[in-house]
Amino acid sequence: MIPQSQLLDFFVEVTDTLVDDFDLVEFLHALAAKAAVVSGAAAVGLVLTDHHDRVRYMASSNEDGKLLELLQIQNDDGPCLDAITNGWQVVNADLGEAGDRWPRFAPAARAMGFQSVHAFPMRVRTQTIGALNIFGTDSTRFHSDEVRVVQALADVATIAIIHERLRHEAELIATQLQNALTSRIVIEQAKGALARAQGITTSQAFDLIRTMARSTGRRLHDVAAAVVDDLDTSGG
Amino acid sequence: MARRTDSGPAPRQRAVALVDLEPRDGTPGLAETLQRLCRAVTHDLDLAGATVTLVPDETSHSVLAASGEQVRRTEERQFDAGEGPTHRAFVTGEPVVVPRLQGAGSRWPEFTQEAESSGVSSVASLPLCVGAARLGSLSLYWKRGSGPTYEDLRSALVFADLATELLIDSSCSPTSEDLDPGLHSALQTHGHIYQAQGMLMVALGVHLPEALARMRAHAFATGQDLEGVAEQILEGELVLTRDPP
Repeated sequence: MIPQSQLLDFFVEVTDTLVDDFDLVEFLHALAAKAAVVSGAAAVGLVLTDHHDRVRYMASSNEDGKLLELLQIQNDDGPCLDAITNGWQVVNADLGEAGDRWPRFAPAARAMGFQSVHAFPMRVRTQTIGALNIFGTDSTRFHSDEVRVVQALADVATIAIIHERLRHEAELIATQLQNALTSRIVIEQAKGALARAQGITTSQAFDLIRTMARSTGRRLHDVAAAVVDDLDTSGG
Repeated sequence: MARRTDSGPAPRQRAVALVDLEPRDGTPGLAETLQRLCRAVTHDLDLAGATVTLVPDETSHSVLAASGEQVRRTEERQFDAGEGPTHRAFVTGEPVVVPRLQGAGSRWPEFTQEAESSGVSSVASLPLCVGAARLGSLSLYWKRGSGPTYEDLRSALVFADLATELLIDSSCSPTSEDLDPGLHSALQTHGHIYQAQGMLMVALGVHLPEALARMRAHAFATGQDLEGVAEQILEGELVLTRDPP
């Protein structure tokens, strides 16, 4: 965990980017990356739940974080799902001793070299809309004040999704979630289209889209939608 | 899914069953199925009514299905007046939810007057889309004295997904009119499916919705799941042709 003295700067930096028209997908990825730095974790992942009660991958600090989330979703087993179902934190879970708790996830995560896991629910009033997962390759434990810091990070992610204009309209969370998940789909579609059009891999395509967004100051979602539109040559 | 805390059927199954329960009325086809869907969501959420409206092209718009005539007129009013929640949803591509129409008068004066005079106090327009592929909107009108709750909107989004599926499948096979029980979670969550959809759009030179329709048709015809079809497209092992199967 980074020193307390740097935490204030960190939160100011994070919340500074929550201005009007910020890029939600980029923001959540950056938040996951920053959560990894703050906690000293090897990987961080973030998932949301949709209106079909399905858990869906949203963002991660790196490829391992994404894989670990997909492992839990596909196996319907793991700390992130526990945090969402029960709305509580999973803290300092040792994967070596979690074979009974998560019979499919724990051995798979250990095989990837991970030792510890923590999951923090993303809550709005009585709803749990998702979870932030922290994965460690050693057995470092969080102290109670560190747990509060990471929960605060999960809360920032929640605020980013529901955004300020929804402060008084809790019922609208459902549609805001839907919007966030649609943005992810648009980006996946653009990755595929661009990869095919340019003869590159989908991850190279994502880097290209990201570069376009950064150099023009537009949102990833908007750039991806424009890419799809440009490459739709069906005419009509 | 383990996420569910009650023991009822999955949301999609429940919605499909409700659509099936609505009496059939009129010539079987896409519009008739969507009309039953509008009535099902209206009954389920105790609404004044619901409509499915297609994304307009340069010259026209179309209210494809409605639970009743009054709500169809209110929905159409938006396009005559060039204002309203569906109109707004088409411009922004995002869901529009107005829990209290009262006070929206300055934003949409003509639409608000029309809606309030027919006893509507809240309205929502949910985009029918798969990522960048935008097809239309499911508009929901609440009776005076009621309004959307969190659970209402979640249910409405499930009906919106069903309507999206119907529109996508009809773009590939015009005779398709029923909700396909074989593709039980048709709008999947797996990122690879959407990457494959984008690839196929470019490879075949077809619209984005049609690319997904082709994948769904192929999955159905070959008894595979959509995820498997997507993986094969991404690996270059499967090349779908321009002509429908």
